[in-house]
Amino acid sequence: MLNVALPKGRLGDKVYKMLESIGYACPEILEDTRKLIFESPENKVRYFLVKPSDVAIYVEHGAADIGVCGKDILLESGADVYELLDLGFGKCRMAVAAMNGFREDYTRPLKVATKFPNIAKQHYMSQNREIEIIKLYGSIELAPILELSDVIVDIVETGKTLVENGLCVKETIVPISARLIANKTAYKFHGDEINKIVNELKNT
Amino acid sequence: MADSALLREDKVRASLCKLYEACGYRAFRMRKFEEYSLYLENQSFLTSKYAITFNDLDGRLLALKPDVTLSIVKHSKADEKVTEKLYYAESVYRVDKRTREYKEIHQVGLELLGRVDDVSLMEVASLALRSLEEMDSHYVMEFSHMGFLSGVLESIGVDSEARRKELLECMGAKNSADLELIAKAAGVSDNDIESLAALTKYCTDYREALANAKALAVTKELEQQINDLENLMTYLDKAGFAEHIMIDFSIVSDLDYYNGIIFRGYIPKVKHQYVLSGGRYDKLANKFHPHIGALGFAIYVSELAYPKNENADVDVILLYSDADDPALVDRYAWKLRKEGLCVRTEREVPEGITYNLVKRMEDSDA
Repeated sequence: MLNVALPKGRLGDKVYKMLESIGYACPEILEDTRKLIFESPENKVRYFLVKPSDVAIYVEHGAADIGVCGKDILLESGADVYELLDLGFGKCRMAVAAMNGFREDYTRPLKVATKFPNIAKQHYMSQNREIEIIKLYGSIELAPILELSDVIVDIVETGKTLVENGLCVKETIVPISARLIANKTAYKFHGDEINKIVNELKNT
Repeated sequence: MADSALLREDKVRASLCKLYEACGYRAFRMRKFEEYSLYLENQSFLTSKYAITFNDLDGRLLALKPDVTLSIVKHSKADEKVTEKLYYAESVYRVDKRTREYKEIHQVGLELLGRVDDVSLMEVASLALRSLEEMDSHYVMEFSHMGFLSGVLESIGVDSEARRKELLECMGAKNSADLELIAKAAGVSDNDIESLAALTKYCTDYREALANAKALAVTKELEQQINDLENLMTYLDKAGFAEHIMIDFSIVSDLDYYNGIIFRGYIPKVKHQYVLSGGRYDKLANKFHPHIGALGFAIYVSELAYPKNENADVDVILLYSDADDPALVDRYAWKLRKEGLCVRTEREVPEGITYNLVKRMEDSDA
């Protein structure tokens, strides 16, 4: 039985369709239901619908053998998992953004508002820049507008949200995309099956 | 019979100690506390930089040990002629990186210090495999070689230490996508990138993994290192461990201490980490004793506590009342226990305890 952690939402739907096409169908998952676990004994697969930021935790602890989550979550959580495949979708970037015309004052620490404090710390540490982190959970773009912070570190897709709020990208930190991850122990004992999935997904 | 985590751990601990004693390893017991400076000066050997510290009456800063190997090495009387073979079953105190709290971890381990040769390497590796077998008949041990990994990165032209660290991290995560990007940026040829990625490919056959590694063994030193690894795998294969051994260069340890063969053991019941970790750590040992070899492994026995206990808590609930003679209650309970049953005496059937059977004093022959 293969245990798969799927992120709730568009990404999870897309990944399910891909897995369905390589033999891991579980039609129950497409029904309108509040269930969180779906099992197909014929196809020997079990899916869990999980909050996107929790996928890596389920996989790391072995509650799921494999899962899909964004590179942003992997970098932020530092989860100890195998990152077997860049699925090539959910593409965006982690970037530093600030108000148009923002001028940095290097004589004091930079105030950084972000949902990703670890990524932000790592980035500025590599530049030897002292920062103060303000951890927020959503609508991060508000922070520099209200002078809560100087800059933000956040995911940027098209950049439309930034532009509409008078912000612009100052720096790209790292490109982000959806990754297939695997539990390390599960890989030792079910490596053949997991590897087969990786290869077949590469070809779809 | 109930199978509590405590008993499970104790059973495994006892069988492992018996195994090591059978090979002439002596028990190492740590009764004193080490000075904190020992751990501070060797931080990167430890899995975490934190230690629980306290002052003794002389004002020295001591620590609750986060590690046993350092103490064994520090106090070792081994040299090029005298080999010490030691095992230990101790608690260590570490910070759990997830919960950010200190935890007491029960560790069983083994160290061989002094003259390390092919026979001693085989002995320690096979003891590691036999230790895993004590815990679960389904087990896997993976082997890698830190000297080879670091040598390969150097030979393919990755000069910057920061880049090497990044590449080792990618290899540790089997992340070939980012490995390619970073290696390309570091100027590594496409051929070499492919060979590097192949080192962490899934290979149940250690011979295939060795063949992949040989493609990168471009210096005499690298060739020798792969030969060493190949020899060990061959000996273990001949000893009957073929279906339990694999080569996987995604095991990465700190280069300051591990310069040779390293290995990790896994059992399917413990899904969140490896249960055994070991290898050659001459570089660490040589900080204290310049000319000795050092080999060993540690087993995280606490991790065995996690698998679910499927059995009932007790076999028998024995009900008694005030009218019963306590001596007869005791006699009947022990009669049942001598038959191998787990018996718990109660006035009434308790809530929250699972059991197989209820007996009453009327059921006894007394």
